[in-house]
Amino acid sequence: MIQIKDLHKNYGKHQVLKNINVELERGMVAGLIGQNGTGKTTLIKSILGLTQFQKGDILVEGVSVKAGPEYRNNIGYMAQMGRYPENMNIAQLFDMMKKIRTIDKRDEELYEKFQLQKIAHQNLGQLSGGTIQKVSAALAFLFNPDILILDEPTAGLDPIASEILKEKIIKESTKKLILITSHILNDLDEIASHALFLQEGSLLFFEHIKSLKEKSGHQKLGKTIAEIMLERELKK
Amino acid sequence: MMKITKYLSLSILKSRFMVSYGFILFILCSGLFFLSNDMDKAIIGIHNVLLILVPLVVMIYSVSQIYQSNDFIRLLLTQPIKRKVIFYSQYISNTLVLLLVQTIPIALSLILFSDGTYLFPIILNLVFLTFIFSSISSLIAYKINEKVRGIGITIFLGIYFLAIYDGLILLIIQLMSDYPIEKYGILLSLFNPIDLCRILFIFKMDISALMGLTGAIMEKFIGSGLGSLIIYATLFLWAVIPLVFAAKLFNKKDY
Amino acid sequence: MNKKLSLFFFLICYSLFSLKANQIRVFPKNGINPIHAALLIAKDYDTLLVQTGTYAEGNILLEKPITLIGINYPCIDGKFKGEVFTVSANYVTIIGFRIINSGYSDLNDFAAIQLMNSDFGKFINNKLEGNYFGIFLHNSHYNRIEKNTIIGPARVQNKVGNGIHLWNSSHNLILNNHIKKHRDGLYFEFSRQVLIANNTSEENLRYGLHFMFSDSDVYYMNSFINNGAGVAVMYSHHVTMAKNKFIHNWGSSAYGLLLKDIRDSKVLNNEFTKNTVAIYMDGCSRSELIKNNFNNNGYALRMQSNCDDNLIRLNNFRANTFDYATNGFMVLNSFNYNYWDKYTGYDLEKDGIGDQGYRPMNLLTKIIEEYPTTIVLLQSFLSDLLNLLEKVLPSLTPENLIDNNPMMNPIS
Repeated sequence: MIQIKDLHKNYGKHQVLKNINVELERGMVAGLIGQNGTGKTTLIKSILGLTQFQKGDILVEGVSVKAGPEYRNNIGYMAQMGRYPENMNIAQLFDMMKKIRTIDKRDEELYEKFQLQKIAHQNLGQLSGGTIQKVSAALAFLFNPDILILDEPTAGLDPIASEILKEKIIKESTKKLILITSHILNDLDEIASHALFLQEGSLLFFEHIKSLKEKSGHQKLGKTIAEIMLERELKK
Repeated sequence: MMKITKYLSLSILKSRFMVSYGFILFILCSGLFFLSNDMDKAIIGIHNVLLILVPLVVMIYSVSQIYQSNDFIRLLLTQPIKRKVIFYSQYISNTLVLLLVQTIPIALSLILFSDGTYLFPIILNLVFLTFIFSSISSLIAYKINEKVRGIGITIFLGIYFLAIYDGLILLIIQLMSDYPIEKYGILLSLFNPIDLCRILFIFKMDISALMGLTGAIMEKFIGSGLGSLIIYATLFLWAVIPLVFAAKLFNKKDY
Repeated sequence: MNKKLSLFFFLICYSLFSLKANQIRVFPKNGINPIHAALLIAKDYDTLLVQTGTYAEGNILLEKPITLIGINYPCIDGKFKGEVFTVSANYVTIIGFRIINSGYSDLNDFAAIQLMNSDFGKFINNKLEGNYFGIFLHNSHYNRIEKNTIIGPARVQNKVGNGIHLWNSSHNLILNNHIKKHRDGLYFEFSRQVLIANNTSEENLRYGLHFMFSDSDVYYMNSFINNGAGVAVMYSHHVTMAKNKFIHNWGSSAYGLLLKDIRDSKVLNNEFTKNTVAIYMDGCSRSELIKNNFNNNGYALRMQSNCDDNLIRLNNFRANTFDYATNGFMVLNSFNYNYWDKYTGYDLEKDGIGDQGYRPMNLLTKIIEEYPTTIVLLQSFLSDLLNLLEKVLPSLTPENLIDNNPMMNPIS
């Protein structure tokens, strides 16, 4: 569904993404892993069209992201700590989004489970970080898109909300392509099928998590990754 | 585009700042009518308030508004909407709300306490200044990524247009005083929208009789069809050119 | 005793009767030129009672002492040819006429009423319309011109004459006239000891009042409104101008009151409202400006530096764009006890006089005087800033240009 071909991105002299080639398919839950500053968010933003890249291309269902904004009809995005106009309330925000994306088959499961209707008339400026995350998550899933891009989705969520979100991701995973970044590898362990590992702007590996675990013999993703990284260091 | 503009406008309009700004403007303008014993003087006072307050408030508010809505713009950018649409929605909603919040109190005080002769020229200048300084703000805010630096530059530009530029005019006139430079007085003010609005209004108020030879030349210029065309076209360009550059910057910006 | 008294009484009655006896009634249908005909038969000091109607008899020459009284404003139409009335005798009275359409010529100053070397006349209650000149006094003294309405023709300036024109005519009284739309409303040259009171002169193309070389005249309670160039008083001394109103004389070369080469004169209790320059003084000395009101003028006082020894006292300066301007650093005039609405000082002693002096000329005015093009900065934020700076640290405006006793409240 998403083809990334030979992607290069730099801010001035600073090379952020180098020669990335990857193909993501429906049914995958791809965990995007890497240290801070390795280009995870830049990669996501490139897919979303938030940042421009210098070389290569990204095709979403065969269409280049440079061709126009229509491909985003099929993408739901949850930003890392999103912020919204302070004087708009939740109801108005959802109302506006629904008017922007005129899609009929809506998925309001998260909206209901997070009980956002109870606080629908509170201004977004007055909400706590966790509640904002709930709003962002509900918005990402609202239009039942085929592709979901979630940037640190569980950060700031309370355990109950976090569980609700993970369940939702697992539930949707078979029908969609879901791309997640997270620092909490345990969270990914529960939901991700594939791991995309970025280091210093390059794609180190892209593999099925099961096969990764088999190779290393560890049961936890965290340890598996740590081991892989250690191996790499030793090779150098 | 209409949808986004509508939601953004309503959101900005609800802010406490906007409401209190409008209220303060009304008190200020009405107060001038009560403080000065002459209607014309009060109207000149209102126009002076407008020339000083509007550029500064519009610029500082618009720039910080754009910085503040950075995340929201990012959210909109992830939706299937063209960048251009987002850019102009942001610009128009911001400008229209400012315009509304400024026009209503000023127009109201003029209608209530004066005979309304100068309502149109004052509102016209208000419209020009709001659009122009909103455009300039967009340019600054999309060009400079760091908020503090952006606001610093905004304040500097505000002071530049309000006072520094006029200081330069003073200097130029002083240095060139041996030459017949009366003709170029108006030319110098073309490069500052505040000066341009001020001079347009002075001639509407018939104060030009005080201005001697320079005034006579300027009145002839403003009175002629070509002259007024040049002035209004220049004001229009002051609004459009920064906006076009801002749109280009926005189109290529990484969020 | 009784006889003597009755004789005396008889004599008085007889003399009155004989004075009043010769009244001649003139009707418009009395022949071709009824007024001319009546004048032929009239003796000195006779009265012509001219009945209402229109008379177009060309020039009417009054060469003997005579009284013309119009009944219900008979209309004397000059038909745009020559003069209407030409007076060349003393003791002529013209009352209650409507006199219209005198001729226009480049060579002759045709007027509705022209006085040539005639004294002791009375010209009262006439309505003059569309004449080249209104009332023209030429070498004529001790006349009384009163309650006339004089409205000029609708023509371009160089084809319009003056409303009341005095040349070398002294000791005249000009009272309660209303003059409109002439070139100069009132014009005086070489005319001394004239009293001009209660007249209104408005909408004239050039000056409401214009006079030169006319000493010891008195102007009292006149109104000069909306004239092309305001009022000009020049080359005279011992002139008194009191309680006049100078209103809305607005234009790039208009003055409320232009004083040029005036000395030993008084400008008292006048009102100046909405003039480009309320008073412009050039080469004036030993004159007093006291208790005048300056409201809403562009410049209230513009005094060239060739003025000296003038006193400016107890005036009110309110809502003027500029209170004072001068072109040099020399200030030889004295300001004291004026009220300036721009004064922001305090009065700790509570004596009604501000504790610090007031400098009537602000920095912007000074700069504009030196570099006129800087007027483009009028009403800019920068000009406010400069004026504030000068107020705090006076350095550029003339040092002795200061009112040391500014009043805290307007003078009534």
